[in-house]
Amino acid sequence: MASLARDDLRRKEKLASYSRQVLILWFFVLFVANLLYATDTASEASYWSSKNGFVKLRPLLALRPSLARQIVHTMKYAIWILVVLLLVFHQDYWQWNEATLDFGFLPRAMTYHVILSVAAAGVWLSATKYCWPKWLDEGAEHSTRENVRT
Amino acid sequence: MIQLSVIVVYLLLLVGLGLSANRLFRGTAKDYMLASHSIGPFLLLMSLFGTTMTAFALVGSTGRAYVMGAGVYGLLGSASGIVHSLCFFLIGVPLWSLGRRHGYTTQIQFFRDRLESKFIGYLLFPILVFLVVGYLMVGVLGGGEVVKTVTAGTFPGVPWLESSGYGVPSWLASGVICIVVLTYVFYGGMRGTAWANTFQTSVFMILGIVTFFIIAKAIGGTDSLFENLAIASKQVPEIQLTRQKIPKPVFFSFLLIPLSVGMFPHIFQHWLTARSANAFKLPIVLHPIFIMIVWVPCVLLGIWASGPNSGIPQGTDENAVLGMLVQTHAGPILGGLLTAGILAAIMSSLDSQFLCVGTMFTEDILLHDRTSEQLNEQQVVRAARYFIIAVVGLTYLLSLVLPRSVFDLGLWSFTGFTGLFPLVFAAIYWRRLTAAGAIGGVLAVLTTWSILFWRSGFGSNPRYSFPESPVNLSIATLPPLHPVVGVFVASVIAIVVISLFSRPPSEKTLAKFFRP
Repeated sequence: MASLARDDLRRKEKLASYSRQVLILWFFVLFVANLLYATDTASEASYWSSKNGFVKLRPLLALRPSLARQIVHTMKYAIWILVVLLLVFHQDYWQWNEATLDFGFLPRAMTYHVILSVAAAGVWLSATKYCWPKWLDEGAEHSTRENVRT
Repeated sequence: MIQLSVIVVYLLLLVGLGLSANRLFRGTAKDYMLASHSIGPFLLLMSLFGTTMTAFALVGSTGRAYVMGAGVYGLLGSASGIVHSLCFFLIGVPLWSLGRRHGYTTQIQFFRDRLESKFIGYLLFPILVFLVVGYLMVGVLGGGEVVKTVTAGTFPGVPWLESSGYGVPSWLASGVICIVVLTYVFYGGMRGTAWANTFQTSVFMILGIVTFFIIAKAIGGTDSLFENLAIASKQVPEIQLTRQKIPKPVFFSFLLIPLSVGMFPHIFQHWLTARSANAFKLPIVLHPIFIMIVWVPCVLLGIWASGPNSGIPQGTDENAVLGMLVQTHAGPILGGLLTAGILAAIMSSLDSQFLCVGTMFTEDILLHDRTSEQLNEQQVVRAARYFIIAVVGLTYLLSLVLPRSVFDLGLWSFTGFTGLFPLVFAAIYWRRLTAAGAIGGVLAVLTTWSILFWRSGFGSNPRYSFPESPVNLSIATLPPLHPVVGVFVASVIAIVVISLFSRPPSEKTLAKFFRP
């Protein structure tokens, strides 16, 4: 009986810990979203609508534009660091002989790399948002030359 | 017979699609080769993905997982998800911009302009065509093998079909596949290819998932999907669930293989079809997910095939594993549809490769140094078609006399392209790259690749590594690695060292290719 109660307590503590982590993560997401919102006035009306709750928080959290711009600039470096991390984590030597079947059918060697693939899509999504060379479309007008000769 | 009929109907459908695209053909070489830069994000995603997913991804990954186990997904699937998008971002987008600004149609035009050298084009052309022929062989061999396996027993009693198990012989199937792809490429050009790729990519993704669930049900034998998946995985020998058959240094060196996508001439041509730089965003983000959707079922099927309940005998040729799974576990109609799905993946790469070799021939050899008055648009398109037929004929003959594992053949082709990757990277990002450095790099790739290919028994030894045994250096031991590492390192050293010791490019050229 005592061990059952202990297990129950441990489960509740774990649940509370997860909830706290999710809450902190959500506040972090809100914070970053507000910073970004504050830097991009052109998207003010179109992207973050007030129903998401971001607009209400903005005056409270928005920093000086120069500092916010600096943070977005730093994001570019952060994303390239994430790309390098994806390549580093790809070499998962620590579970080389692991034969566990996750969800009853997926070998651990595959589950891990499936997660890595999803993470890669997330990183590339961020890269297209924060590291996109916007000048490209402006510079690439239709060329009148059909073929190039040197 | 039903299976064969379904396959034939599918092939006719593709020919019809090419003919429809021909109705929109504007009659210019630019429209034929680059679809007049009109391809939007969705078509670009589907055509890029369809082009990178070949027989290597379906037939090859299933077969190699059957031999080496679950690690095959990490070995190339997830690695490609990360690195392909990296190449689209770092190489594809800038090349698209330069291509649009200066009117390039092929890689060689870019290199000639950037390096102020005509010779680099004459040197690169045969090497690129040679490597593309190796890649084409993957599709031609894979397609023929799948049709032969799936149609086995269709014509019982026909004496000349005995060697192919009374099914369609692989040489005949490969030939028909080549003719079908040639037809819709000739009639549809790049527009037809992009359409066919989109159609075929949808077909193989949907039918691939269907194949996966049907085979899982056949092996599991219950009505519950998860139970079937669990039963199918649990009957597999434990070693197949781990990566014990893959040496860690080889796993590490495989990270370089997907860089080859940065130098594929057919991918370059697809990049240039984009309507705008923004069209690249969707392919960059979704490519890793799409690779996952295709590779995970294929690798799982491969490891299931190594279990006793799969119906696949031990020691089966790895190229035949996927076809045998379909033939053993699907009914005739579904089997035909599933085979059509596999062929769709194979043909969606062949078409782009066919088109690009024709484009390279006309733009880099035939039209180079000629004035446009000497040849009209129709003559250019016709010349491209003749050259494509010659290359396809050569590939077809090579596939008959040099049968190899689809996976290994693909790897050797990718190794060559990966060796050329430092060249394109330096051309975009390194102002100090010179023509001498580029030529030195290409020759270094040619030499190291040829020596290593010869040492591997012309690709017949799948476990060939370089160095061939561990080398004790004073600070550490260099383990045997995949040959791609040796080729890549030789290329980087040659490009950097020779460039630093040769005359830098002119300021005019640098101003043309680099932002101030």
